Amino acid sequence: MSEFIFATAQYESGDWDSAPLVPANVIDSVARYTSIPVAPVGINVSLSSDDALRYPLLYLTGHLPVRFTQAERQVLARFLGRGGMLFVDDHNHDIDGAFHKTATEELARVAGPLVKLPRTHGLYRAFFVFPDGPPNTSHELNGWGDNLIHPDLLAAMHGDRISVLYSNKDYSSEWGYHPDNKRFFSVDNTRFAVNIVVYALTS
Amino acid sequence: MTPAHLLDRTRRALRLAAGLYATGAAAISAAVIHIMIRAFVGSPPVAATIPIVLAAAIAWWAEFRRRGASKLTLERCALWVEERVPTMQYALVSALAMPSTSPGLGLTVDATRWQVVERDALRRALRRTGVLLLAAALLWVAGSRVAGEAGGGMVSRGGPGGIGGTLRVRIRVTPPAYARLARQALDDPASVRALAGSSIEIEVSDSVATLRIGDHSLPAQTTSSGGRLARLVTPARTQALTVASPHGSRVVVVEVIPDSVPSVTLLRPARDSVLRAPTGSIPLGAVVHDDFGIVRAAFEYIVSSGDGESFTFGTGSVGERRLGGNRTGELSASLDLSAIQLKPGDIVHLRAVARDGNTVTGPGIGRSETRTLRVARAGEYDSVAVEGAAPPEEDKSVLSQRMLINLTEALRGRRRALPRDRFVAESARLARDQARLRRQVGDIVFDRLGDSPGGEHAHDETDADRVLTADELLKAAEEATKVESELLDFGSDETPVTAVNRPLLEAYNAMWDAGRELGIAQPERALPHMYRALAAIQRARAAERLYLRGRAPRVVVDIPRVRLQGKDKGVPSARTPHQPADTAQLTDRRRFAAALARLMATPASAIDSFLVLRVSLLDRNADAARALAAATDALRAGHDATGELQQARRALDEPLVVADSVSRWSRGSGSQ
Repeated sequence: MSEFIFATAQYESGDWDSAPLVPANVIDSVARYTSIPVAPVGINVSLSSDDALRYPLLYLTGHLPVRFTQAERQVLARFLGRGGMLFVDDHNHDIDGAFHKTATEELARVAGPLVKLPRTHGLYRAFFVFPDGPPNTSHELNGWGDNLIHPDLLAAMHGDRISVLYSNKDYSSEWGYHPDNKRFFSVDNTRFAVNIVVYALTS
Repeated sequence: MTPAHLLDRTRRALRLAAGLYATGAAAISAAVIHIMIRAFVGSPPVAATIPIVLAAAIAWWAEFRRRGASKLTLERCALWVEERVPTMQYALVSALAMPSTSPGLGLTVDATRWQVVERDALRRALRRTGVLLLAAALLWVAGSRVAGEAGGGMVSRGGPGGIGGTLRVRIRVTPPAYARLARQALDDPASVRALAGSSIEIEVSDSVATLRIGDHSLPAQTTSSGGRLARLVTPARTQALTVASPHGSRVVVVEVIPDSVPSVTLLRPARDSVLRAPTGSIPLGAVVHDDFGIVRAAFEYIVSSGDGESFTFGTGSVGERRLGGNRTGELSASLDLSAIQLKPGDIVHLRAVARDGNTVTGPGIGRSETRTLRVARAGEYDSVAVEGAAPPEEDKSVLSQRMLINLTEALRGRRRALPRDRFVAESARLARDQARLRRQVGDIVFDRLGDSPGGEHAHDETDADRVLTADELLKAAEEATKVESELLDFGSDETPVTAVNRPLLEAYNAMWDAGRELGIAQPERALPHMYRALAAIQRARAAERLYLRGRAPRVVVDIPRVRLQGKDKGVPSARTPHQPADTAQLTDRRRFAAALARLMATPASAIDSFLVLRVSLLDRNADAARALAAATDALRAGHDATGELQQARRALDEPLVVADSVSRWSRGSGSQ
């Protein structure tokens, strides 16, 4: 079996590389908690390239407005149609912000409407169990961004599985630290990332 | 009753007989024309009935005239009777010519039962007409089979009456008002194309018929004419309408024509760009198209300000234009950069947006590609960037060098009070400290140049002979950074890397000299070198710190270490294999083959299966759907559908494009 490679999606319009430490942190958690063969480094892949089709999970984040090019839309549609999963995180943790508005508009055009993901969804039990839904981030609890806690994630479904998982919780900031510093946490805050990876690989 | 009255009755009988003969001839003519049309044209369209009716009418009139019925006078009628009843000896003609002069003739006429002759004529006419009508019917049926048999194909069936029984379906489609399209009425159609949001009326001739659209039954009401009437709005996607009754069944494909969103093309600005200064205005241009009409269009922009974790956004629109339902339009405007108060570093995301007049499922909103205009930051055009935080190694070195100078000056002051061997030992200790400090400075330089202190130029106290001089170190540094030097050359004879490191290199050289003098217990001669080293370090500390712009450090996770040397046996959730990608295609092929197998035995069922298959293929195999539509049309018309079915099979057998080289998650060639 080939090893899992964490892929970050590059797109033309925004700061796609605003969370450079998230991939290493997620990889560390996947390696730490699971026996999934995982590559030690992530990869950046252009969303307008067919290379994006090689990976089961794409991570997309940023602060700036998201306007996909036609090529990016086409590749993303093919990616989702082939069973890929796109995890989008609003680095602004701001539900009324430009990233949220533009990204949800673009994603709805490609993947269909984004709806609230019920807290009983299998994603929250794919590896660790999160009975209260998506874990809150310190940015939300500290009142940053729009000073709101966003209790639910949004998702676009492809059949009965998630094709696009959309978060306003700013996991990009929450998980944006060197994995060696994970030892200072009493509870690893990247455990939900493991659920996302396991769900993308097994559903 | 006078002879004239009797002859008038005979004339009517003869005209009736002529009409019967003409009817037979007309039927034969119609059947012949029908055969010709089927043989040369194929399935007769509605318009093909015109020549058939015309030929029948001409034949009827020609035969009627040939029989002389149009000019049948009483005299001719009397001669016709006299010819067939010679015993009358022209009494009838005479009585007709001179009714008042010869009463005896009238008795002769009355006495003769010549009406028998006219009944015989009528019977003959009826017999011949019956034969002709029978022949015409046989010819008509034979003509209906002509096309299929002539094609020699595997499919040949009866006419429209043979499929669907006596059930008749009439469909009226009323498009939504905004589309400004005409209503259409279709009789017994195989498929109906309707714009999304259209109102559809289905009228069925059978009072007990049931209707289904897709998997849902359709409520219907009984009409005054004894049929059933149902109404529906165009479904969201193409579906099969099934009409079933004891007298037959029909499948009608209700094909949905979606109202496309407007197509918007941004012409100006043509590409993304970076603005040196946020002044002036930018011309904007776009063209818009729509299939039914555009209501309004405008340019939209978002201004992003800030960096790092702090961004603010503003939105706006310019150049809005109402297009009044035109199908095409042009937009032009200009964006005043001063008016939107751009600052250095701001980004303007610009696009054109158009809305159509769809009041049913819309409005459809079309958007152009987005252009990005960025205002340059100050100093952006430099090839290096200055960062605020800097490592404190120079500060550490300065303090250490000052400490060494203090200790050396103290040793120099105590020289007379100390025994010689102790003085030499203390000087040697200072020499070692000086060498250690020199090594730290060397590490700083090599760190900056990307080399490793443990590498080629590494050294320690026992390796004093191999310590490089400042010039050698500088030469090595320049060689090590040759590529970067060429890239970053600013036109002088010194690269930025060399320039920023020269004070440290001078300090390194001076420390080497100071260490040498301290090593031979000459602190007085070492002090000038130490002062020079301190001055050089201070210059380096005061210098502007330049760093090459680069990416974030690449973190490589040590998987075995994270997994505690691989002893962690965490097991992920069980994997559920995905369905093979071509399952749908295989299913389509099976459905097609099953329908084809039934075609000879139960053609109506097979046609319905083809139609249902066509519905499911519309959105994933348009070629096959198109071929199936043609095939079902031909089959319903009783034509040979071999070619169309072969096309459908070829389209269904199109091989999938499978990139075998791409595994589900393997290492790709994306950039790092």
